[in-house]
Amino acid sequence: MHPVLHAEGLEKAYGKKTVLCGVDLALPPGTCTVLLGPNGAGKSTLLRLALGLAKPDSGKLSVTGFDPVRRPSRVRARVGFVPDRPDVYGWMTPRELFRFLQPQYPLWDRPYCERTAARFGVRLDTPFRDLSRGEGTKAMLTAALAARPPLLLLDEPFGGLDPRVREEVASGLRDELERGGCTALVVTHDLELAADFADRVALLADGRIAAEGRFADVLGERAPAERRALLRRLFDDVPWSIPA
Amino acid sequence: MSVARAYLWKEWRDQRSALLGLAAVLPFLAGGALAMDPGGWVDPWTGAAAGAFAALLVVGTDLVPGERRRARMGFLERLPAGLGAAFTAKLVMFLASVLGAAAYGAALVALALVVRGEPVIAPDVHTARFLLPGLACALWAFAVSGWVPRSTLAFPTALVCIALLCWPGWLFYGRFPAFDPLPWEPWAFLGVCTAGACASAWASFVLGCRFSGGTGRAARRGLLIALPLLAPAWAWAGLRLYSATSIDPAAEDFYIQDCYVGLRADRAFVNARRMRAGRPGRSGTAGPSHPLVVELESGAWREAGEVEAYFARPATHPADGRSERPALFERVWLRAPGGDVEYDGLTGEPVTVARPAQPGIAPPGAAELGLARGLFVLGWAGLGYRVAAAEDGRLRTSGVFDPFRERYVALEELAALPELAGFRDLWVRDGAWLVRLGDGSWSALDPDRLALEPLGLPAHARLGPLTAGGRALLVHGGEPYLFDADTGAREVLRFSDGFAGNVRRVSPAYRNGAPLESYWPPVLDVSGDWNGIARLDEHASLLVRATGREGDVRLLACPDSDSALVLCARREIVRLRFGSAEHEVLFPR
Repeated sequence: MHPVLHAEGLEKAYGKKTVLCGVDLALPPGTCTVLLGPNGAGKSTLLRLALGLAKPDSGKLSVTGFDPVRRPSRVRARVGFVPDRPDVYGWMTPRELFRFLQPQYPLWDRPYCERTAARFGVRLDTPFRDLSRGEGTKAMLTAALAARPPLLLLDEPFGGLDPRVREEVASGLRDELERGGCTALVVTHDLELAADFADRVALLADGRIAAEGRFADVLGERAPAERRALLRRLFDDVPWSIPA
Repeated sequence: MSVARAYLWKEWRDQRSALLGLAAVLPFLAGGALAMDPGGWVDPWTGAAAGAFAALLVVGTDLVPGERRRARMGFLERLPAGLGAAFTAKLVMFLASVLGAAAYGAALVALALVVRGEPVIAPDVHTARFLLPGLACALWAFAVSGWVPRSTLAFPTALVCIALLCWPGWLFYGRFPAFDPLPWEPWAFLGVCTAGACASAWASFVLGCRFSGGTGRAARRGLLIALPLLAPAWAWAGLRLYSATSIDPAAEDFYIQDCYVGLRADRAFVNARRMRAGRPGRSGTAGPSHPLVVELESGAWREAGEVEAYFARPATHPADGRSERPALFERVWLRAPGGDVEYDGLTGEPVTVARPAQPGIAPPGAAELGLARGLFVLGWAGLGYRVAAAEDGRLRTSGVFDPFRERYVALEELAALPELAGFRDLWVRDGAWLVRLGDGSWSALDPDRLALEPLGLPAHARLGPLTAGGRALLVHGGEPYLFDADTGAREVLRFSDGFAGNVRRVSPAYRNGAPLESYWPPVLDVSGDWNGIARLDEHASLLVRATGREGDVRLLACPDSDSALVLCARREIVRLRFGSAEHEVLFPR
């Protein structure tokens, strides 16, 4: 099966600062991959490239079978995106956001959207400016899932959330991923949560994918607690090194 | 809901507060303006303009900077519809808000006028002509708003941008009023401007803001689109400018307005222009003047000064009223925007020793003629002078000077004779003057006694110029005569080459603007079955034709008694020989 996202030799620099230098990454369909890396490693840049919001300097990138730079509309209609914090208008309510987005996504599932919003407890008629960050993130995740996208990109969805909300979002995401069968790429620093619902991991260091594959392949057959501990240690060890 | 409707709804929700605030404030502004309107200039059109301007400032210039300020450009870009749909909605919102506010402002003023019991002036087409320029300017403000970080900078930046984009037109049309734009040109330019503004706004927003582009990138993209779009308009303006500022004697539109021939008749000082083709049903218009110095021997020419300078009638003239070589100039003036220059008629070069400027129309020795200060000779009145006085900086005919009697007669003196009221012509001569009265009949006037005596000429007789001896050329029944007003005797004139065609009119051939147009030897314009110039041989009672050129022939000078330099069809300087069909084109060659 063709990967939903396939990057090959992807390079990107902002001015003189090289962020990505030869990223190779392939996301098999139906998998959830956690993208790990230190701050400034280029994780968000990779997501921006996947959405066609930035132009790679070189390399090849295919998202759901399309080039994000040449066919951005096709790609964006097939990708659900959750930013690290809600980026919609403050006056907009989640209900208005769903109505605004619905005509742009051909696979938009309105009943599913309503069910998911109810499940997350999204306050539909409260403007985003009056929602907490967790409530806003849940509304954004609802919008991303309601588009029924083949690929879900989540940029730090758990950042800044209190433990209870973080668990709600994570469990809802886990359930929806298991149920919907879509492919997900999650950028997060929350290793414990990521280890719970992700089945693949990609380690981004020095502008390259240092390791990529199934959790078991990359990190060995370890118990969840041991896996978390290892990932935590990896995070703290800079520069990175992959344990044998 | 469709994508377009969704984006329009989003724009409306985004600008709703500002629009409702504007709607609430405008009535107060309209009321205040009407209350403080002593001149009555507030009408629905000014209300519309004020409403549109307010909407432009409050809403129109904030549509794009507002997204940047709220950091929502990324949200719009990452959606499937992308920035294109957002731009379309913004453009529609912009037009709707500006036009809607204009209509609202007009309605408010109209309503206020009705309430006050004052008449509401109906819109007229003249005012409506400002709609498209206003819309083009507003659209540029919208386009430029994507180039600046703050919406408050959009309007002044747009004014600078419009000035830069339109400078070729201003440079050209402001400088050469004769080359005013053709009716379609302003509309075409405004159309290009409007389209250019829309395209530039699209490029700024959709291409410039893509990939998180900033204001600099948006400005570059907008200009990259605007420049090629407006380039044809600039090229056209440049072409028009070139056609106005360049002169080519071989061009079809080449046209000689005036020409003065130097003293040795080997050089001509030409005021040339280009005659722009007329619109259907209207005559053409002349472009700016190009002063040319032409060497008549070789046909070589050069521009003597800057565009719009022109040679003027000379300050001095060798003729004293009896010159045998009429209209040959010792010096001519080049009137230039940067200052006047005197040219030597002999060398064709500017004179190095400047002489004090004299009124161009004053003859040398005007004081010796007995004229009081402030009186100037305008031209001939028969063998005398038509004299003018300066009033409020303008010259008005004040009387005539009789050199035979050495006497100035003011028009007020002639007004004592009621029959002279509204006289058409007055010719001074040695003896009785000749006067054409208001009814067209000719009479002899004794200026000393102010007594009129009818000449007894037929009703349709045409009296031509006077000879030096005071006889007048008379045309009657298709034949020219020499007419002695003192005796009433007529002497038939024949053509030396036996031409026997019908003659309708004989008039002096000097229309060169020279103040001292010579009467000797008399060269005449003859019209009738043949049109051209002829020399009068008074002793032999003959008219000697120069048949080298016919029709639109205008005498410039007589270098000798056998030849004449003429301007033909306002395009060529030609040497003609009297008594032959010989001719030589001197310029252009």
